[in-house]
This record gives sequence, structure tokens and C-alpha cells, in this order.
Amino acid sequence: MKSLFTSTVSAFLLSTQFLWAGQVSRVDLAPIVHADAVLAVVGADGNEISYTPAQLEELPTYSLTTRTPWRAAPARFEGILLTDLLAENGISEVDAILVRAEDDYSTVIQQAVWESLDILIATRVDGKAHTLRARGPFQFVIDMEAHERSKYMSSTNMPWMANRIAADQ
Amino acid sequence: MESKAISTNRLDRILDEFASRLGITTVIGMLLVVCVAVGFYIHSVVAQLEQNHSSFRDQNARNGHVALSDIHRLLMVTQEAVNAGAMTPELRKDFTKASDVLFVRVESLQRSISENRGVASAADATRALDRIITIADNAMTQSAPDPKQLMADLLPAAADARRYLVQFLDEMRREADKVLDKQAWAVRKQQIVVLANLTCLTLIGSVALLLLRREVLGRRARENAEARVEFLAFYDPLTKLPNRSQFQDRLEAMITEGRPLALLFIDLDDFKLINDTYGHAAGDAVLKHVGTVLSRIADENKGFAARLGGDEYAIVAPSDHIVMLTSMCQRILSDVAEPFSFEGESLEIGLSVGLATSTQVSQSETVTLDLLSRVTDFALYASKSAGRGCYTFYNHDLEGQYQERRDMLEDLPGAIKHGDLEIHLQPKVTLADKKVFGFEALVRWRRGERLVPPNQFILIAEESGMVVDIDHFVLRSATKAVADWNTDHGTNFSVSVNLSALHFNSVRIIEWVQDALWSSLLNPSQLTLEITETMEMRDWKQARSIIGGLRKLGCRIAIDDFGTGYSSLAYLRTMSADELKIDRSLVEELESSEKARLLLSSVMDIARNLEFEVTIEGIETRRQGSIVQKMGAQNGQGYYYGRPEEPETAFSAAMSNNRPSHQMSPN
Repeated sequence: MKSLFTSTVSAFLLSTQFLWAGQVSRVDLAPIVHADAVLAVVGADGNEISYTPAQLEELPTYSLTTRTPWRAAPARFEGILLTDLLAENGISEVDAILVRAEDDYSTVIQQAVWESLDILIATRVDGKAHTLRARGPFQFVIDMEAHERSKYMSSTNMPWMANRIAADQ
Repeated sequence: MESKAISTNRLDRILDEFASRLGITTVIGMLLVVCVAVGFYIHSVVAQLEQNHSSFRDQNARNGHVALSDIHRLLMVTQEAVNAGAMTPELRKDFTKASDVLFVRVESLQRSISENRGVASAADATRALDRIITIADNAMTQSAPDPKQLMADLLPAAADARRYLVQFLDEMRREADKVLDKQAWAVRKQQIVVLANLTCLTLIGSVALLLLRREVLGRRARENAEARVEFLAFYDPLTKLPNRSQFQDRLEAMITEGRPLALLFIDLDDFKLINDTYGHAAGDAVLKHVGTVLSRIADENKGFAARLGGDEYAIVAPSDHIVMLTSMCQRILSDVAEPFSFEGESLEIGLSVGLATSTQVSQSETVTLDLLSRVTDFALYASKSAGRGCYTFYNHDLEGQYQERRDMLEDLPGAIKHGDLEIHLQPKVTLADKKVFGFEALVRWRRGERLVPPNQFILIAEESGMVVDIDHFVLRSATKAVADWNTDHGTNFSVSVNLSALHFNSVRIIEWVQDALWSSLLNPSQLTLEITETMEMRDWKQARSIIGGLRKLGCRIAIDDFGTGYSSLAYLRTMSADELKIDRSLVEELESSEKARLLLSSVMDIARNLEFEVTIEGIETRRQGSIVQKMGAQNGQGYYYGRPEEPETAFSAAMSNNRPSHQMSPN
């Protein structure tokens, strides 16, 4: 009887892990050597603030394991939350943000998306520093399952090689 | 108009089909099927669209364009290095970045190739791009790469890549066009589907609305019918007056309340005649008119009027004041007496009214609806018996009278059969010499102890048609009695017999008269037939021909009761008669009234001009006799000259009177 109960509960917990796998989890990161890269953020006052990966990691860091449209096998991404970065720069209340990438790609992410889903700005992949060739050094990552389930599913919400964030007027 | 009516009927029949349970189930089923089918169809089309859209959204085209830009960036950095003469550390950094970006681009391109069907140009392009990356990576492994060499190595590979990329882009464009075409076609198809759906729904909607309309109209018709039924339950449809039901209910309620009230029963006089003469439309109009008049009078007296059926009406008034009720009755009679015109004809309407109050009844018994109705009925009957066109207040005698009349009605046929009837003779004298020349035969009924005079039973006899038998009896008896006496005593008496106007509806009367003459052997010239004009004699043509037939037999004809109001001058003109009998009413005031004398004198003139012999009835004094004689009347009849007696007595008295020495003396 007791064993049945235990196995039921553990089965439940295990199954729901997949549900909770979408959550980012807080981690502490040991310092490593990052690639030469800069993420510029245009604050509410219009001033541009540049972050290197190491500077970015001064904000609370999180970990997220997920696959992406460009990775069939799940990888462990570590970095900071977009919402924290926006709050730091006073632009968390804007309707949308414009994100630019190294290859001159640009995309607009709506407020509704970062309010309903956790968007991680990844600076590390599988414990190693993120690189250009790996679609870093700053990559917007969202848990794939959660993203697909939501109504905002679009690869435009996950720009890679990000190098600039500004409020979209 | 007709075709519209037919198609409406057809439509109604079709709708009825739909309205059945099967019909509605079928329609709903069809509706569901259509909805589901359309749902599936739209779903499939939308899925198709989404698929097209998603395959397009894979940004393959963009990859192509951006790849060209990435190649350009790489070449630009290399050119800068060429211009600078060497790969500086900064340029090295830029170059690495450019090759990294290109690297990722090639990865994207390769992924999309593997995911979607293989596009030949994409494969070629990626191969060329791979070559570029290999060259770039090799250059970066060197510590000091030669920019010019690098450029020279890169250019051919770049050229290839560019060409294949453009081809790839063209293919993507064609893909895009295809997708757009498909979208457009899908949307166009939607149009038709939507139109078809709308038509279908409109049809179904229309049918539903028509059904609903029918339902509503049907319900409204039902409500109207129900309202009408309710109305009919308590109101008469023709006159809109309360009907018998309502009358009884209300009267009952008023009686229970105990307040004094009066009940009037009102009947139309000779309504059948109006219907027969002027038609049923006129009859209906008369009924309505009378209803309106009675209703108005009833309202003025705070009562109500009702139509009990046929030509019977009733009024209930909440009062027992005799004076007020009397004036109400008079009002009723006078208002109805005003001529009523229908389609240009002026109709005379007459009413008989009977009235009783609850106070009268309650003196002897408790008032009930039945009792009150019964006594009012007696009053009405009394009005009718009194000659109609009048009102009668109930009194206790009426009931006795009514009962007696009922009894007489029952007994009369037997009386005729068993010979309880007898004739009495009243002498007629020539005014010149006061000699009796003939008699008028009058019928009497010996009922047990009493001798009932005709004025009491003749009306009943006329109403029941028995008067014909009575007259027949009188005819036979009178002719026989006079003929026998004449034969036995050598006298030359004549006799006059009254004939009811009913006789003049058939020629049988001629047969009977002839029969009586033959069996009695009386000389026809000694028989005078007295006729009174009444309403029943409207068919003058028939009457005239019968009178002609009677005169042919040799009989004399006398017009009776002249001056009572029935006899019109036209009647005088058309009837061929020998004698005119002037009613006693013209004689009554002769002695006292100048007007009466003048009137009589004028009548005498008329008679003389028309060459009628004149007999004055009702002479009761010698003076009356001399006045009329002076005026030129030939004969006289009345109590002064003799009362009606049994034949033997009458004959004897006459004979003794006629003896030369004898003068007429008052009895």
C-alpha cells in the first residue's frame, strides 16, 4: 500500500518535471573566459550602455535546458533574464523592444512575450562560453515546449548573435 | 389574385410539411450536416493555408539574401586588408567575425535544405559557401596571411556562391509566388463557399421565419376565435346586446342583492310579416334597430337590455317606481313607433311590452328569477291579447286570465266538435220603418254555466286557426236557422255572417258558402258575408278574387267595423262590396260631440258616393237612431233595436215587431 502510494507520487513528480523543465532555475556561475563581444542596451534616457558577457553575468544568473530551432538535442544554456536587464535599464514597461544582431538581422519582441515566457539571454552553452559560431555570444533562448505551447511561438522571439537592445518606438 | 391565393395555399401546405416533427428533424439534421461539412472544409483549407504559410515563413529566401550580404562583408574586410597592405589585428578580428557569421549562415541554409525538399541551387550555393569558409579558416590559422593572395583565393569561390545564391533566390521567389497563388485561390474558393452558405442559411432562415409567421398568425387567429367565442357566450352577435345567458346571470345577481327592480319582456309584433314582406336583411336591420333603441332607453334608466332570442327582448331596470316605469314603457313604444327606413323603404315596427316589478311579486312570494319571468310573461301575453302595440303592468288577475285563456284554448276544439257552440241573432232594422229585415249571427260558447261571448275566445280561435271551423259552424247554423224559419213562417229574413280574414287565403270558403246555401236552401241574396280588413288580408288580389267568387254565388258582401282604423280608403276602392257597416265607435259620441257628427256625416258621404248601403252599429238610444237616419243611413243595429238572442227568441221578437201596428220600443 505504502509502496504503491510512493511510486504514484514519484511518477507524478517525474512526469511534471517535463512541465517544469520550462522554468529557468537560479544558478551561480563560476567566472570563465568569454569571447570578445558587447551587448548594447539603450536605456530609458536614450543612453547606450554596453555589456560584455562578464558584465552581463553580474545580474542574477539562471540556467535553462532546452532544444532550439537550431539544435535538435537539448543543451544547457546559462545567462541572465531579459526582464532583469530591461528593468536594470528602465525599459521594462515598453510595448516592444527592437533587437539587432551581428549579421544585421533585427527583430521586434512584444512585451506580452517576455511577460508570459521566461526569455534567457544566454552567455554560456553546456558550461562553455558562447561563441559566434555557436549562435552566441548573446543568444535569446526560450524553453521550446513552453514556447510552442504559447501563442507567441515564433523564431523571431529568439534572435541569436544579439548585439543591441532598444525600446521599439 | 387567384394565382397568388393558390401559391399561398401551396406555400402553406409546404410549410405544414416542414412543421411536422419529421420535417423539422430533417431540416435540423441537414443544417448540422452542412455546418459540420463546412467546418471541416474550412478547417482543411485553413490548415492548407497555414502549411503553405509556414513553409514560406521558413525564411529560406531571407537566408539567401543575407548570405550574399555576409559574403560581401567578408570580401570588404579582405579588401581593406589589401588596401592596408597587411592583416592588422583589428582587421583580423573583423575578418573572424565575418567568417563566423557566414559559418552560421551556411549552417542555417544546410538545415533548411535537409528539412524541406532538396533545392538543387541551395546545395550548390552551400558547397560554394563552404569553400569560402575553408579558405577563410585556413587564412586565419596563418599568423600573417597575405591579403592579396587571400582575395585572389576568395573571389572565384565568392563568384560561384553568388551565382548559385541568385538562382536559389529565384527559386524561392517562384515558391513564394506559388504560395501566394494558392492563397488567392483558396480565398476565392472561400467566396463561393461563403455565398453558398449564406444562400443556404437565408433559405433556412426564411423558412423558419415563414413558419414562425404562420405560427403567430395562427395564434392570433386562435386568440380572435377564442375572444369571439367568449363574446358569443354572453352577447348576441347581431344586436351586440347581452344574450339570454348573461341576462339570466345578471338578473339572478340583482334579485339576490334584493334591490327593487323591474323586468320588462318586449316582443316584436308581426316580425314574421316583416321578414316575409321585406326580406331577411330588413328583418335583421329591424332587430338591430330595436336593440339599439331598447339599449338606449335601458341605459337612461340605469338598467340593461338583452336579446333573449328570435324577436324577444328584455329590459331590467333597478327601480319599482310605477310612474317612472310607465313613462319608460311609453317611451319605448313611441321611440319604436318612429318610422324606420331600410333601403328606401319605411317600415313600421310594433312592440308588445309586459312588465312586472320585484315588489309586486314579493308581496305574495319570495322573488326568484323563474317567478319574476313567469309573471312578466303573463303581462306580455296580456299585451298581445289586447291587440299588441301596448304595454301591460302585471297584476294578479292577469294570471287568472292567462290560465283561463289556456283552458279555453284546450277546450275549444272539443267545444266545436261537441256542439257547445251556439249562434245568437241580433236584429238589423231599416231605419225608415224600424222593421227588422235581417239578423247578424254571432257565436256563443256554452261553457258549463257560462255563456262566453266571442270577444273572449275569438282571438284565441284566430291565433290557433280554429276560427275557420267556428265560422264554418256559424255559416251552416245561421243559414239553416233563417232558411227554416222563412220556410215555416213565410218570412223573408236575411242573415249576415262574420268571416275571419283567414278565410281569404284559400278558395275553400267559396265551397263552404255554396255548401251552406245548398244544404240550407237559403236564397243567396239573403246571405250577407261580413268582412273586416285586418293585417292578414294583405294579399288583396287573392281576397278580391275570392270576394268576386262569393258574389258570383249571389251573396252580398259587407265591410264590417268601418272606422276602427283598419279599413283604408284604398281598401274601399278595390273591394267590391254592397254594404258598409259603421263601427259603434263612431256612434258613441254622436249625441255629445259635434266632431263625431261631422265625422260620421263625411263617412256617409263617401258611402253614398261609392253607392254602399250603410248600416250603423251600436245604436243604443232613440236619438242616436234619428240622427243617423237623418244623415242618410239606411239600416241600424244595436241594443236599442234588440240584443243578440237565441234564434227562436230573436225570430219571434222580430215577427211581433214587424206586425204593422207595432212600433219599436226600447227593451
